[in-house]
Amino acid sequence: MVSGRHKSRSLRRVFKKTPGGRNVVHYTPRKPKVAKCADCGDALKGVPRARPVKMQNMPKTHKRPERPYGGVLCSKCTRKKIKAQAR
Amino acid sequence: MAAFFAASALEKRLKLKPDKSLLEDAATHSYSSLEREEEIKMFDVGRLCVKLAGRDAGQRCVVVDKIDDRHVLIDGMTRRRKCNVLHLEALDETLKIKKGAIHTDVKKAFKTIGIELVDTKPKKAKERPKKVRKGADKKKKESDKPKANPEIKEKPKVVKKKKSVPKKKAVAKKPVKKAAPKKKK
Ligand SMILES: [Zn+2]
Repeated sequence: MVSGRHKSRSLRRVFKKTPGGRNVVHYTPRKPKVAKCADCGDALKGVPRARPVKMQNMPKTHKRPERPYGGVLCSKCTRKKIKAQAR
Repeated sequence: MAAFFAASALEKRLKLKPDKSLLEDAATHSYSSLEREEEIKMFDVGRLCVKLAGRDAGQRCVVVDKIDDRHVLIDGMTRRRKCNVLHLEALDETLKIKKGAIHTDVKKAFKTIGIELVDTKPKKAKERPKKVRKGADKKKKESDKPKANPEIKEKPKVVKKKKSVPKKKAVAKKPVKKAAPKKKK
């Protein structure tokens, strides 16, 4: 039987298989939403979907692509932006 | 980043949609073979470009050499490297350089437009104090001792007093002593 505090859906349920062969439910905090492009709203590639604690310990280069507007705009929108600036 | 957000907010306010739609047309435009040839002609040696993709995006560069119908060698504010023509945006200006010019010539050519290229020197690795493992030292000393033991028995005792070694070491040395006299017999 689920204990009362775990009936709320604010925590994610993760099913784990123990070394003894049992199936156990782990209650973990939910992941943040996927990072979106500020211009077109598409999901950004190369930006991990991790809790802030893990993001803190990650190096900067693991958290966004290494180009101007990396982690803010998608690659298509950056190209458009740079083209517009150059013209 | 903050500056960019402010800019995008401004764009939204001013509703600069017609420009964007034009750009989108250019991005989704499919090339016919003739157009393709024309575009490749645009990227002759000496053509000033802006790089669109990668970590050098937004930096200006010059076409130094043509590699094949799609790739060119570029140099300038970017790194000197092979580049796909699709990743470049050609500008109106051209620079006077020879085909396959060295970096110093490119540097001079860029000075004529008023851009000074700053070369980054490769960093020299700093000399770090070498860490000596404590365990490795002990092992060496212990291996030295048994050789000295058979000649003079008193020496190891002196060493003990100086160090004031914890119990573990004393345990380790005793068997060594016992082993040495056995060989003599
Ligand atoms: Zn986008």
